[in-house]
Amino acid sequence: MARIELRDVSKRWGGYYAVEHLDLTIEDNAFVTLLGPSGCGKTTTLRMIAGLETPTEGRITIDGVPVFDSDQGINVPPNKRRVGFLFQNYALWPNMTVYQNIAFGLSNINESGARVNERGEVEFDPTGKEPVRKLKKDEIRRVVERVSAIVKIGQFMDRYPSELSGGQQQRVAIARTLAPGPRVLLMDEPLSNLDAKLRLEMRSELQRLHLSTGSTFVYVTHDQMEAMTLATRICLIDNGVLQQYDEPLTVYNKPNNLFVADFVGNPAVNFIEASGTQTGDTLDLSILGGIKAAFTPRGGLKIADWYAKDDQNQAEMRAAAEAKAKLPGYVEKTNKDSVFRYNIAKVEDDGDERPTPTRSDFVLGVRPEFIYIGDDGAVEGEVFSAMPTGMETTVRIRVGNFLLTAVVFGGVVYKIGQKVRLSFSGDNIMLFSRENGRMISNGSVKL
Amino acid sequence: MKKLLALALVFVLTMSLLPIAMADESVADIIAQAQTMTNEELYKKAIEESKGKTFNAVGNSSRGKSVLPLFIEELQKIDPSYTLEFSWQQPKNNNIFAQLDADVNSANHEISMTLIQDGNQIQSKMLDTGYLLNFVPKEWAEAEDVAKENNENPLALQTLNKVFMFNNLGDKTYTNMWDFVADGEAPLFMGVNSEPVGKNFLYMMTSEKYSNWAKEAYEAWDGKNEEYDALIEDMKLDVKDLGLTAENANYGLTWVLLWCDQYNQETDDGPICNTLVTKSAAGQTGLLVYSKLRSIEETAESSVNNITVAAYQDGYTGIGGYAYKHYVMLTKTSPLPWTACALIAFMTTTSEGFYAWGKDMGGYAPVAACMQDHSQDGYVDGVNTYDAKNDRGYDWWLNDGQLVVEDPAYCASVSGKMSAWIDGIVAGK
Amino acid sequence: MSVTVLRKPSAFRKKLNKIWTYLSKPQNFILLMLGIILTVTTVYPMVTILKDTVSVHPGTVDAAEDAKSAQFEVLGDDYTTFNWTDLFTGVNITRHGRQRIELSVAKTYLWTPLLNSVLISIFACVGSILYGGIFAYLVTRTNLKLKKYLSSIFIFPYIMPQWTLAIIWRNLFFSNAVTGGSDGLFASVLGVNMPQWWCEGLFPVSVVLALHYAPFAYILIGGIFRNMDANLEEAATILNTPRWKTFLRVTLPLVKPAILSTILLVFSSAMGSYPIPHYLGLSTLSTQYVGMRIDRVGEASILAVIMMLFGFLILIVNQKTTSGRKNFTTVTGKSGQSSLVNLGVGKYILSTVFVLTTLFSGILPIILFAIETFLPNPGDYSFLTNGIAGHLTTKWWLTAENVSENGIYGQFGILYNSDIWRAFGGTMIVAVCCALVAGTIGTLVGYCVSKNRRSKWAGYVNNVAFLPYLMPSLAVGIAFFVVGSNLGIFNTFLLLILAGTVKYIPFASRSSLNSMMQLSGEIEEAAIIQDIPWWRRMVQIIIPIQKSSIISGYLLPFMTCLRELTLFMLLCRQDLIITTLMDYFDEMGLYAFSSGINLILIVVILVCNTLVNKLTGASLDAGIGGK
Repeated sequence: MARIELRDVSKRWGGYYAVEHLDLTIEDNAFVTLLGPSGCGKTTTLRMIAGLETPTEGRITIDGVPVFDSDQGINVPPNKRRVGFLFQNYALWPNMTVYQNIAFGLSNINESGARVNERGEVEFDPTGKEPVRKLKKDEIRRVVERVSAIVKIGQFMDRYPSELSGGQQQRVAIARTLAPGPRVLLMDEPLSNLDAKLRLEMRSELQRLHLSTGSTFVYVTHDQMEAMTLATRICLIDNGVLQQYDEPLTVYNKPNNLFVADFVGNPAVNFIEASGTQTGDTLDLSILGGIKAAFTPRGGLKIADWYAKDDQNQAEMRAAAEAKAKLPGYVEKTNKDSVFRYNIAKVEDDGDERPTPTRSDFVLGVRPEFIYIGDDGAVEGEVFSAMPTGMETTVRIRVGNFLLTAVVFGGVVYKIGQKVRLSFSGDNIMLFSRENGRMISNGSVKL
Repeated sequence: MKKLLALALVFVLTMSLLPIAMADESVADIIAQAQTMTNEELYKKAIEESKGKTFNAVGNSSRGKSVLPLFIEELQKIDPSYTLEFSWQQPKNNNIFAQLDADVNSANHEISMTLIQDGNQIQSKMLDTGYLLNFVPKEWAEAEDVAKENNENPLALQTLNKVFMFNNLGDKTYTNMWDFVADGEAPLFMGVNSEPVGKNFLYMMTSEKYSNWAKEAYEAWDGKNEEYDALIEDMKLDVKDLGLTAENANYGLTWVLLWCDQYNQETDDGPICNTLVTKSAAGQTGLLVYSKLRSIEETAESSVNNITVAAYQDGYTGIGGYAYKHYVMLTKTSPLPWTACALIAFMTTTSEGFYAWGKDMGGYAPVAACMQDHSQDGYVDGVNTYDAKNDRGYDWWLNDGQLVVEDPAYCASVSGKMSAWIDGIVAGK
Repeated sequence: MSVTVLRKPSAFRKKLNKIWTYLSKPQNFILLMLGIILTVTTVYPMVTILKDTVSVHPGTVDAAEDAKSAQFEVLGDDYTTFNWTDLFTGVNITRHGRQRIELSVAKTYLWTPLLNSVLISIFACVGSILYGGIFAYLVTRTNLKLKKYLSSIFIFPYIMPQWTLAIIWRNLFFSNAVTGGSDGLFASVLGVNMPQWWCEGLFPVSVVLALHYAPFAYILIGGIFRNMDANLEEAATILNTPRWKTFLRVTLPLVKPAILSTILLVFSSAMGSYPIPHYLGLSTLSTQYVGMRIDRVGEASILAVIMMLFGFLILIVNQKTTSGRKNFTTVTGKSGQSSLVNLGVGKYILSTVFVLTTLFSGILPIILFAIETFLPNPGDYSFLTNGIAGHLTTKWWLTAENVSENGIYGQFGILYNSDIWRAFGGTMIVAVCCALVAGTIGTLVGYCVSKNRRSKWAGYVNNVAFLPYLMPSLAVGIAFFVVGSNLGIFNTFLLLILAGTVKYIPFASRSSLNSMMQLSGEIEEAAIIQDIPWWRRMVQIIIPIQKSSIISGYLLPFMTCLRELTLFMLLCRQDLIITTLMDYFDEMGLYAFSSGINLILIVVILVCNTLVNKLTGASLDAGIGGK
């Protein structure tokens, strides 16, 4: 069971917290992506799992074995953790051929009962009873042949890395990582150096690889498309803090806060400022410069109840944080977290004053596919720009001084300046508290 | 493009602007004239020629530098406004010949005169090629008491001696020249290829007069034994190979062999002297220029009294050292020939001119008027404090001190094969 | 209406046009000019020396009676084959100890010195790479203590003139009992007599050379370590590679180019060094050359030819190793997030070790120099046992006249010695001019070659500029001595500047080439499209971008010139520049003067390096290839 657990893991330099009190459980055979903007701490987290970086505090367990525990003083060195690591720029050894690069790790194996089975996979005796041995040359050759066949670089065995293209180098790196058969594969933005077409190809290769090896994959990326398409669960991180850890569609449909909603989804979600109060089931809001909208939360949630619960949660967390602050060795975080500054798309820039929000201020999040354009739409707008791709068309519509982005399926043609009518469809519209940026509920909106 | 061409042109022009001015008269003519003039007349010509200019000379002696201020003073007696910039170089490691050669053949002649030693090389490299020209001042030729033999052509400024010395602390004694080459001895000596007059001395040891002295000393030596006898006998083979003709050349050659095999090479006589005077150098020996004793400062570590000049001991048998000459000549392309002649005349005929060397022991000028008495140099307030410094004089050294005097012709005749013979011994040490 | 019929241009015209188009690009024109000039300055001296080996020299063995049969006349000049035949086949009778032997001329004058030269070069390479490389690793990849202090002290021996370490060695270890002569510091103060092999010969020469060039190795190898992608080693670690295996199979191969560069440069520099074997009693090609100039001048020139052949050999080896499949650069974008290797308690132990070794090689010499200038007699340390009063003096600094006997051999004290200050001025002139000319030409070479990467002519120019650098200094000095005598510019600044320029151009061309290669061609193309002329592009775009490496290219010749002896010693008389004057004082045993001058020189170099570093960010280590 190659299950990875991180408990209260932190990494800081001085007062700067790169990773703050991270709790994460990665199930066996999961494909988890660590997603976030540059500098959010995802690579650091990955390296801490591998042992290339030492956490300041916390506990990391791989497959039930604690590999790091700050309380107990355990710190298993990276070479003993039996994980595979794929570097962003491949780190192929330039003085060795492809074959030598892949075989290098295999020649280090010196375990009880180490051998290569008929399928070309490396095996040990986990009980440790059998005598310790190294792999023979022909055994190594079989493994190398197997993994190079998987990534299709069999014909490049004698070449040096400098004689290969980027994609070929990347595949050599994958083969090298796979050869010893690790149960955990850590990947640090491995596709970021490839061109778009190759990237797509490699994405599907990685997916297949995940299935065939049965290993646990932990994958760092800043490309949300990649995360969405590959992962079994996405772990979104911002400023060292875990924002959400869910299946991709959950992250997409039920983001925890404004940041997550904005980060995931292409084209990006539309943020609309709204103010109003709840009467009965519906929330009467004023949006887009005076347009009236009625938001009906799914499941009949009361806003006030939500706020009460949220306040309670916040109070508990604050108490816990203060208790922690009193412990010895506490260092205050200098890179403070702040509420995500969402972007309101406007036609003309009229300054960006944001008065302090109250509890009757909200932000609506409307995904582009939920903007319905038709003659029976409720609000009038003007086509600002239209980008057809053949399969769909992305339209930007101007309502007053505001711009909304919509995606229309099918080959519909719009002319710039054309007047259209629109509504919000479905009940996946998101309501966020403007005060703290968290999501209150999904629901439907009637304009 | 244009800029590059312009730059190239400038470069070419600069290269061609090397000074090439030549005197109308040749230096040889000037010398011929100068040889008929008195010192006073020469000084006047010199003032005319070199007032405010720079005078360059190269020499084997470091003391030459201090002559020039006195020379300038002398000329200022005639013309108080006379000034002269000067540069006196002392090339080491035998570079003086290469430098003179280069200067004479250069388009730009700087060196006016030279003070140079090693008659052997001088003959073949400088006189036969005509690079150096000899000048005999009138007042020198007509001086009252002048030793002309071997000192006239080329003109010798002085004869210097390099003598055997040893540190007298401890209980070793050196009463015979062969004591210096006995088993276990390691006398200090300047490398033969950096100070070629040393090599000339070794050549001269095989000539008739000096090999006879070597034989005499050997017969009287208390360290004489069968091994050495056998070696001396064996040396006859080498004598034959090297084409030496003296009857007892094998004695001289044996001494040379032992000396070369055992001497410790130093870069200059200065360090040798500084070593021998120290307390820690008990029982050390050396062959070095006598006048170096002048510069020793008395401290707890170093004292002139730690040194004994071997030949000064009563009952010392054998050669006490060797003599070589400093010659002064003009370069054939001398840019300031009159000044050079005047300076040579000043140095060789007056005691002020010779003072830089005359003030110390160990340097003997042909013209007696130049010399000072150094027989009491070791006396302080009437007490004989530093015996080693009392110079017994040139005549004593030639006869009682048994100095080996360099003969360029003999050296030239044997150096062909003997040079390599010596080099081989030194290399194999 | 007249119709002009255009005639097809003739083949000759076409060729002319081609040449004109080729030359109108500034880099091609400059390349052509440089190629011609550098060929002349490199080939002409070599030809002259070759000629010298077959010429007759009066007063030497090839003019003696028994050599007459080998002479012949060409164009009225006397030539002879004697020098070649005698050096390789001649046999002399001599003695080894008391034993009569037949010694071949070649053994004494050629093979033994050749072997010694090669040996010291090899040992110097090995020593400097080990010492400097290990230090580089410790400083860049581990948590050694006192890094800043150690890395600045470490390069001291490189800043000092080469042979001063040899003099220090003598003054420390020579003793009456073993080497004859006076007791050095060890013998007089500690009563320890170091054995013969420690004091003279292969061992001390190799050690001194290794100490002198270790900083060079440190800068080159450290530069690679600093920029190395740490991921490469981490990848090996993750694969459970033992530390030694990672070092041997991953780290070391990456550092190989730096090691090779160091070997090539140290080898030829060590081979050409004259003063160090001269003072420490070893017969090498260079010391033999000087000694043979008395009566074996022609054969000495053959030694010079052999030294030059080594230069060619090294160039060829350099060519072979810098091309080829296994070649790779290791500069990557993302530099290491590497953690430093934890040495544990070793970080204190090792830093102490290095503090001690750099104390000996960097600080002690300076202290000794300072003390020497106050000793009453050279090497007289009586003040240590007898107290300062009466045993230390300021005469070496303050004596203002030289007519009476002041115990300093007729010299003036350092502060009043116009010879010394004039020589300093001379050195400054030579160093500044060398730096300007070599730096400019080198930068141009780097620029032109980087623009014509694939052209054979560019490769040739690069090589011919590099060759004198790889040739032993003495050989280049000999070459220019011969040329200088022929042209009549002996003992002029012009000759020194020429020799220095030719020898040091590669400092600038390498630095410039490396940085130009990393500059994208598009930067200049953007300017070309806008019709900006060549010189403006250079001055306003290229040079400001490359400022740091260009200045390093000027700085390095300047610093090296300041302390260069072997290259210049044959080319001028002793008072023209300060290093020949220093050597003169050392020969004469006037250690106070040479030590005082050495101190002043070191201070000047340090000040210059710091100033330029503060003002422009360039420095000695960046120039050699650190950054």
